[in-house]
Amino acid sequence: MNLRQAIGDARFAITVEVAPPKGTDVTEVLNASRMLAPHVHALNVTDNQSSVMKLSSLGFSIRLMQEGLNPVFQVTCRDRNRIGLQGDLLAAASFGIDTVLALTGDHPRMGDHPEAKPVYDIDVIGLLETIRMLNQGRDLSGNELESGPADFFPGASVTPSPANMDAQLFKMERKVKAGARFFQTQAVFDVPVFAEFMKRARDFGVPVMAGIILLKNAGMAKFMNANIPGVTVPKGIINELKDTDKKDRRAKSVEIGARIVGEVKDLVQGVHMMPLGWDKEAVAVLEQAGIGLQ
Amino acid sequence: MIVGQQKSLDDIWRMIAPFSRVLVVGCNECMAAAHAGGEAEVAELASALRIRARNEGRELEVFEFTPKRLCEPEYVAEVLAEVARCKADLVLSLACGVGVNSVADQAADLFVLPAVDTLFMGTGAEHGVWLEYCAGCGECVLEYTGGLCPVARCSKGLMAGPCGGTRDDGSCEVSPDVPCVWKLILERATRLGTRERLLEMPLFKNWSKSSSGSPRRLVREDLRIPTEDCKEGDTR
Repeated sequence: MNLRQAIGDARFAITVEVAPPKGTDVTEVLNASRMLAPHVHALNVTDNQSSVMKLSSLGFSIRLMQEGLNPVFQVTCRDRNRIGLQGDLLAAASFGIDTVLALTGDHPRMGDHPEAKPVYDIDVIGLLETIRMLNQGRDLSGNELESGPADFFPGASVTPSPANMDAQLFKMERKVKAGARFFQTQAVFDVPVFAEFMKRARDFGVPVMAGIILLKNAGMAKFMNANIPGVTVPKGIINELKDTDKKDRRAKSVEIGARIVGEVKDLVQGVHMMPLGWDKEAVAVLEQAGIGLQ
Repeated sequence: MIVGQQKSLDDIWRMIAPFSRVLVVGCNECMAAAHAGGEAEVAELASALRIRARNEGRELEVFEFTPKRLCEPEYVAEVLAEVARCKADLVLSLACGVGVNSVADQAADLFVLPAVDTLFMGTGAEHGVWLEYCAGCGECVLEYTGGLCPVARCSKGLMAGPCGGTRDDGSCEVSPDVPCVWKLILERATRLGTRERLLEMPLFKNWSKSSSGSPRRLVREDLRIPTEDCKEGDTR
């Protein structure tokens, strides 16, 4: 069962993020994807995540399809104009890829080619509207697609930032109106704050999957607090990691992740794991939290 | 105003190496306001070049001239007259890029070089600080956004609300010096009761009207001077 079917059947949806390599050899990430696949409905393929140049999201999404796995094709507006975006969406569809996560995309300044010219010809709301047009059998200029309507299942992201909740909910509502059928959130650590966000986000009636990042150590948590907008790791969690021996950190990280999943699972319709290399630990989190594929 | 910043003296020195009679030309409007190329900066740069030439034992004559501005033919004509008067072999421009192009277009055999990096259209927000306010996109959206421009002032030029990169203090993740303009737009729209207007803004911008199209040209027929064979009132 893939993500589209899981959401369609109102099951608890589970996805995990995989990042294509900086290079041409996909063996390692394919192996990781094969290991993760039985535990999730789909694998999100990142699109030059954090503006760091990698093998393309489309390319690796196709590889996953060829392996019989379910990709979520992540598409940002940073590197392609409306012509390139539509072309890549059609290419994805021709390989049977229908589930797309539409994103604005980090600014190039954040990545490893900071002098690059960003595109942002259209933004994520425009991208969702573009997908809607393709699903109606037309391109953005109104020209008919020779193959008839496409059949994309688009999702979007949201940052449940307490400091900017009004602005984020404004954008989220626009994404819903532009056709987003599911949401994957930025990492959640502070569950009471997230619960406040969900009180309002629930009204949109679109399934929300809580983002889960595994904290590898206290330093990573502090770094995220300082550098990732909208992410707040509570002091208590930082202290827990600090007070844990290095050899027990992975177990502690899994314990914290599983606890957060356990606390948010009744607030949301799914979870989206972002293991950042700790793939086995991500599976362990799901197992410890008692979350399996339904 | 157009905001610019003088290039480093080393860069300018490298550029002018082949020349021996340099006319430093300023602009008494935008570049004067930007403290990059008004009369004062022209004098300052000319002195710096003279001192460096003396220190390095190089033959260099430096002249100074600052017209009202350099972006229109009548002022370029003044500069060309000055070039002839001092027999300059180079115009070193402290005007914006428009001035440099204007000279190059009108004087086919004259060298002209930029001593300023032209930056943006903006304002001097406080002494010594200039901010970009307009991108000249050719299709103004300020009617929807309460006067604050997402094209020029959002790092990504987003058209439909903020991205996830707004920091807790309201700054942009790209630079803590830049406020998230979408946060400001939303707060202002909430105060003015105009949030619905934001939803009316075109999602798909027509970039062919911007500098992403082809070089732009504005023709106002009502202002053009009729040519001999087509005078006003002529109904042929």
